[in-house]
Amino acid sequence: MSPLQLLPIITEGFSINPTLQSSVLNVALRGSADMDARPFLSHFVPLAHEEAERLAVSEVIIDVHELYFINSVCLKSLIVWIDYVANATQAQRYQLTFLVDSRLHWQNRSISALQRMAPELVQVANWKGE
Amino acid sequence: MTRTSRRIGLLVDWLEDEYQDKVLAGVDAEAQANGVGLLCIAGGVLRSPFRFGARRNFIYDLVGPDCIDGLVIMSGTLGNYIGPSKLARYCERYRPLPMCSIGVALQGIPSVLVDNAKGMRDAMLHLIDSHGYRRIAFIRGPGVNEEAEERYRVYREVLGENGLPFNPDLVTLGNFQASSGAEAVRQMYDERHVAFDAIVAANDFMAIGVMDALQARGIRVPQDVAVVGFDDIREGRFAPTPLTTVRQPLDRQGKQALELVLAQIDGQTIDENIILHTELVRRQSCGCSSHELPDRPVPEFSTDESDVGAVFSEHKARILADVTQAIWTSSPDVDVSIGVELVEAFKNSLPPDSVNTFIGTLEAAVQVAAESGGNVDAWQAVVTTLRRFTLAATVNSPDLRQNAEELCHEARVLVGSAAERTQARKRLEVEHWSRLLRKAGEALYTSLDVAAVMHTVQEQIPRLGIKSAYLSMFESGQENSRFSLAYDSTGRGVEKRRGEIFPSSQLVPEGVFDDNERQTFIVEPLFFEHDQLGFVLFELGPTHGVVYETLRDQISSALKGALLVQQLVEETTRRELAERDRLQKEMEIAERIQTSILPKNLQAEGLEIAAVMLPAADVGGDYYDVLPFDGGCWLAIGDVAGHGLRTGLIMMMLQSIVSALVRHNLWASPRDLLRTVNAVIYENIRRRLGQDEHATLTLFRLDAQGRLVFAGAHEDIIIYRARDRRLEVIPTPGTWVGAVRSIDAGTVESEQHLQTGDVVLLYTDGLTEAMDENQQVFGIDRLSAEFGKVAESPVGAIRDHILGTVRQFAASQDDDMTLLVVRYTG
Repeated sequence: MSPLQLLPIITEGFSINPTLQSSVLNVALRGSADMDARPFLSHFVPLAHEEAERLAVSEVIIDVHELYFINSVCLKSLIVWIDYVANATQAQRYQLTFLVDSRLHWQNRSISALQRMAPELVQVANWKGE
Repeated sequence: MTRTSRRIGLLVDWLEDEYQDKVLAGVDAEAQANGVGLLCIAGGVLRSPFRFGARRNFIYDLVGPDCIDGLVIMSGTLGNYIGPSKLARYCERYRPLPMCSIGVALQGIPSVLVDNAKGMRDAMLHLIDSHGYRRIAFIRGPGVNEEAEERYRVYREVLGENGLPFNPDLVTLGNFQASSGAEAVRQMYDERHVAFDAIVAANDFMAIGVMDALQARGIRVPQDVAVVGFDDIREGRFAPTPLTTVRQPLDRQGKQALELVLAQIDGQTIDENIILHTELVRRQSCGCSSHELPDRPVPEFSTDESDVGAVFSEHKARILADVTQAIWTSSPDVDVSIGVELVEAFKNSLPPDSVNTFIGTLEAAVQVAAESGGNVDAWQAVVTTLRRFTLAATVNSPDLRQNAEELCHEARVLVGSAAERTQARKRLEVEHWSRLLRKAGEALYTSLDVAAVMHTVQEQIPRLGIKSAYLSMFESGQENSRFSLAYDSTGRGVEKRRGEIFPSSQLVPEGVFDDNERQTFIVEPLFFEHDQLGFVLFELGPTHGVVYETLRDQISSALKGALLVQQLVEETTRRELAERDRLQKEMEIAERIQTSILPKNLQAEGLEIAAVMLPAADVGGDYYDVLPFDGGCWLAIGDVAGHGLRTGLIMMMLQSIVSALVRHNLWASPRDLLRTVNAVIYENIRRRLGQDEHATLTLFRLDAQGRLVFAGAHEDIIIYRARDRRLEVIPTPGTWVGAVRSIDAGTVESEQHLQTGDVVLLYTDGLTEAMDENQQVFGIDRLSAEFGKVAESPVGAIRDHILGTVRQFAASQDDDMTLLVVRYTG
């Protein structure tokens, strides 16, 4: 398998850290996804999807357990990601799993709504600590 | 423009060469002597085909009676590419100003010319008669240059007179630049394969180019090929092989021309041209021996000690002729009468007991030569001449001979040392000017706006020894200019006149020239490629014309850069303002859409309702609605992701669709209704608008019995249970509308039962996500707590308390805030 060609994005208050483990692409979102984070996230999502297709991963885990806030505009980027997967060919499709911390209110509310958008593609798993 | 003192203009192509510098020096000296001001306008060669050459011509259009009383035209260079007849027609524009042409006879204009024919004839005859050359090549000037063509005509004439065949392959066209001399060598050797033993060039620059090209090919000058030029410029005197050339009296041409202009101003009619002599200067490039020694043999003397004085007296004319020729050849600006003093001092210093006055006299003469740009080292020829005569005259006087040898040795050491010092001083001077100009350039090129450029120019001018300078920039066209910079060390206060608009033909605003003091200004055009920016006047300080040319170039580039930056800033600001204006209008429209469509009537049977929507400056997409009907009421709340007009439009779509669907079926299932809303919104947003917005939306249908049925995904609902005085937070387990084609699978219908007094709190994330200065969000916990504090209050008071608390908490309002408080009263 080709090595991962996605670079981490680290800004003040927000970061995106992609890693590859076997056939699973991990994308950890941390901090606060507010308006300042919007351009980074909207730039990253299409690249990540392309990379997932190129690497033919079976699953992408979007780890948001350390993402303390996300506004509706950034949430839109995650919807776009789901849309990419939904429109991919069957062979290129992969599972999207959100790793959440159920103690965070927004995650309960918004990630659940995301999952209900495309229950066949999106899973939600609770982060159980290190 | 009124003037009390006379001012004359001098049109010159540029000031980087000695030719122009020396003519300017002559004109300036005569202007000083007559107390008239001088404007030297350096506007390039007319219609020059070279890059940037003709682009500076525009400065000539500004010259006229508004700024000068008469005009000297350096036609010899100005008209190189148009010829005398077109140049004469060009000069008609300056009528009725009195004029004088230098170098080229112009129809209807008095002219100061040089005797090109005699000079060239002398040079050719010297090559043929003294050195025996037979195959002599010739490099012409530009085809329309009258002087160059005259030299070429004489070249052919002398060949014919001496029975030498004319070979067209030995003639090339040039352009007076050194590069065309090198090109001529290449053509004759590499293309035409012709051999020659001498080359004559129509000017010195081309001759120097020839010598460099020959040297690069390993061809020796003069052993293999002799070279002769025309003009006698400094570069020729200091060439590795000093250049034999024809000297034309450049400064005298300048003086004479100014005299003729002044005479015309005084009412005299000048009806003939003045022709000045030219003279052959024999140095080494033609094959003559070193140090410009006269090639005549020294006569034999047979005398003794007592007769040395007699010999000097008897042969005084011969000795003086040889000494003055040596002086004249090496140092054109030294008065040759110094030769008389030198010969006399040498003669008087020969006797053993005499006082040595010769060395002192020689030192003073050499000093003058050094200061006037002469070749000091070439003064060895003066010593050699004196020694040759003395040795011949003291064959029988060993003591005198010994003394003469010692004098000559001392003189040679003096000349050698002075030459070395002169070279060192010149080198230091060049370094000094290079350093000053480099610093000026660095300062100018890093000035990023016009004001900074002006400030830098003002700062650098005095450092370059320039006493005053006036810079003006064209104001939309060339007719008027803005007086942008005034530097004047005399403290007349003209600096205060900056910003004045004045006719460009005056060159400065009226009264800026000091009529009480005679001044000479160099007028340089400011331009960058095709852009004509304005002009600058420098009071003549340094005599190196290259200083003004370099400054002109640096200021032009800096100004162009600053103007580009200014344009960029203006354009960016204009676009930003336009964009801000557009956004502002968009926001105003969006806000009107958002607020105008809100329900005006909040009266519903069995319910008390209070609502508020507070749009943020950057309007979001909050939406709420209250649609009462007999037996119940529909409530809706949502938020379109994003900001601006598009968001407002989508919000309007939502309102319309929900309103229409509800009216169509008052008892419809909220889930079904939501599915339809999604289908329409998805189609409109994704397909028709090609956008990717989505919206949170929860639809509620509340009936008279307190049955609250709802579907969709939005913020959690908070219900105050009046009977238990407790709060319940109810999630909205659905999904958003507009994101996917179908939300059937993810949309469920939920139900709550309200008791009398129960209060339902609906809100948007503008409240829960409001942030304080520490970036802490208000959050649902604080919202619940504040709601709990006032839940028994009237709905209006609940609304106001919560909103007030959130606004107090938030550092700023970044999103719309919407609050809907509904109390079920049964």
